[in-house]
Amino acid sequence: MEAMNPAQASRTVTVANRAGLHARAALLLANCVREFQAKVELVMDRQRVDALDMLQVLSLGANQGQSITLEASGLEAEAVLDALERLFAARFHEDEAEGEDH
Amino acid sequence: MEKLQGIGVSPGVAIGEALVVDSEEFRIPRRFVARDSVEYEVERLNKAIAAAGDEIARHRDAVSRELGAKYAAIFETHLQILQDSKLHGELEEMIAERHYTPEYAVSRVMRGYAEVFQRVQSRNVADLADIEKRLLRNLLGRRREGISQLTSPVLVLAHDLTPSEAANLDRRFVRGFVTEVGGPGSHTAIVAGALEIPAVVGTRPFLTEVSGGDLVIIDGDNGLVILHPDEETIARYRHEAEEIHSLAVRLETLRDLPAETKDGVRIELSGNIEFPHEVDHCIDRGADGIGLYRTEFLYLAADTEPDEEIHLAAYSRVVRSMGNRPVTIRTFDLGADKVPHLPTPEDERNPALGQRSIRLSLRNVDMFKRQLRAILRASALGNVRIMFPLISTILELRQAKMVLADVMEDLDEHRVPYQRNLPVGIMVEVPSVVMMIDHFVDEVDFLSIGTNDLIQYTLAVDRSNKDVVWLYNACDPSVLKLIAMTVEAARRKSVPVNLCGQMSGSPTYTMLLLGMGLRQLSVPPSAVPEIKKICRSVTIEQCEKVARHAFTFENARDVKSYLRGELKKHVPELGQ
Repeated sequence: MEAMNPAQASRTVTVANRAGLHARAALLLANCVREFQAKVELVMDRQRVDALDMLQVLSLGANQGQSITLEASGLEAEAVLDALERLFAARFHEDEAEGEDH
Repeated sequence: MEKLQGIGVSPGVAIGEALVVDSEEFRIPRRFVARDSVEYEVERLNKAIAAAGDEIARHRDAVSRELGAKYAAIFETHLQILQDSKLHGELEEMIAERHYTPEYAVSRVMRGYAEVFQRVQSRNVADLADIEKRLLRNLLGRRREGISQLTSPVLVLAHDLTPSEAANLDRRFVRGFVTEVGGPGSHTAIVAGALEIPAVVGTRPFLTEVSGGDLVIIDGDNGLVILHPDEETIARYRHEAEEIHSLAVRLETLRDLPAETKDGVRIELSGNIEFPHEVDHCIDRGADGIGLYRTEFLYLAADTEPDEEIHLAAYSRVVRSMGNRPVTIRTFDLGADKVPHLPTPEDERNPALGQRSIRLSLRNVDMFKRQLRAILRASALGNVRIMFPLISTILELRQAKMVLADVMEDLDEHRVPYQRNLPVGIMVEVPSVVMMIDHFVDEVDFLSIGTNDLIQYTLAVDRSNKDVVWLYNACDPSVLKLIAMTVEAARRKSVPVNLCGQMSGSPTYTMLLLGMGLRQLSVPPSAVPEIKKICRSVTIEQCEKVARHAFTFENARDVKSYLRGELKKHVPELGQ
């Protein structure tokens, strides 16, 4: 376990959108993280991946109902988690996108 | 050390570094890179990733502009997958630690992820395949292009070479060819012949056993390829290469002497060429003319049909260089399947018997006329003859001559100069023409026997099929009879008859051919000195005796061993 430092935060979220954390959602997730000065890792079933590594995120294969722990570090660790939590809660705006997934 | 037996299609010995040209089907073999080239290979990988990324970004922007950002999201996903940092790390590690080639590393790693995706039932499996292919295309594409952009001498090893690859390769650096498929007369063979470098085709698959940079020996005389040769073998082949060289130097003294038999009969000995630059090879060896100028490379070197000026530039170069010596230009002689700008034929299950060569020219009259105009215009510059390939009926010949007459009329109208009475002849390469030869001799100015196709059509053997190629024999008695019939009919009407094709360039057959009455031979430029040496070492009487005896055999093997014995007897220097 790494030593805790002030700029670290973690939160657990649930994949609520129907399509799950696949291409479209993963893209929104990564784009969201890029807006902040923080590094975000997704932890699920003992797997830990960087939110920006699309191939790794997709390899998790997180479907609807899956819970994921988001661990953030960096200047805006809290802020990025706030934004991500909103994104998960908003089901990655799936309805606006007519539930499509590529 | 490993020896591979194939078919030698261009003689000589080459020892050098391998350049492996991968197949486009992305079946990437497990292959290793040398320890000291790891850095270079990693850089090659990174360049391929960057290039693939650029491509995807361009697609993304174009789709976004035309259809909206929503539709471009898939490309953004691809781009981000490609930029996955862990992926890069894994690929680099495979190259640096396990010494895999970038191609193999990409293939392994991406397929590993595809399995994971399948397990978690991701919908993006197809996207991974797409990214893998794009990366491989960039990796291999670079390598395939590499064949035209070389910086040091290499031996090219490939599954097969496309005709345009063969035509576009960098002549200065390619020292030999090996292809897993193909036979004598394949494009690789013709190009290797034109470059005068050894080539072996139709080996078994072996590309997985060799890496770029490995030392390889190509023995074109015996159809052998030697991978990872030991010291002794290398020394032996180096010695042989020197012997070949010293024989060539001795034969060079014949350059300015005529191809004349000991009893004073002059043989017209010309060169077969494919590329304009080969005209220099012919002149250097003292050839009497160009007996066969193949024009196919003009159609293969580019994606668009060559225009009249491109034809004319190539022909002029050859005709001017030859001065007064004759240049026989053969019109287009390919199938539509080989030519990028012609529509792919729909019903071509048997291309050798299909819409090719003169048949295709007569179907695409505009294309045919462009070539004829250029040939006629070149005829104003020197001594040009025109030759139609694959004629099979007399009506076909008349049709072709009618198109030629049309073009002449058109040139007259525009007062474009050309040689009005340039000789017009045909290739004798379909047995039906030999059967009807008495009629043909009345309608042509010359004949040229194309033994490669004549053998193929007479014996019904595809010489690029390694399972039946053993049936393909120039000295099969049936083939010899057809040649004899042609020569005899031509003699009666005093029509000149030439023999081109591989048979004419092989010393084994020279005495036989002279004995059968041939007085014109057209051979690869590299064979001019040897064939001239034979002409100058024998009398026609000796040759006639050899021919008479050769006709008593009933199978090709006996004919060949007899001819070899006679060559050894009369010209020991060449009879090995």
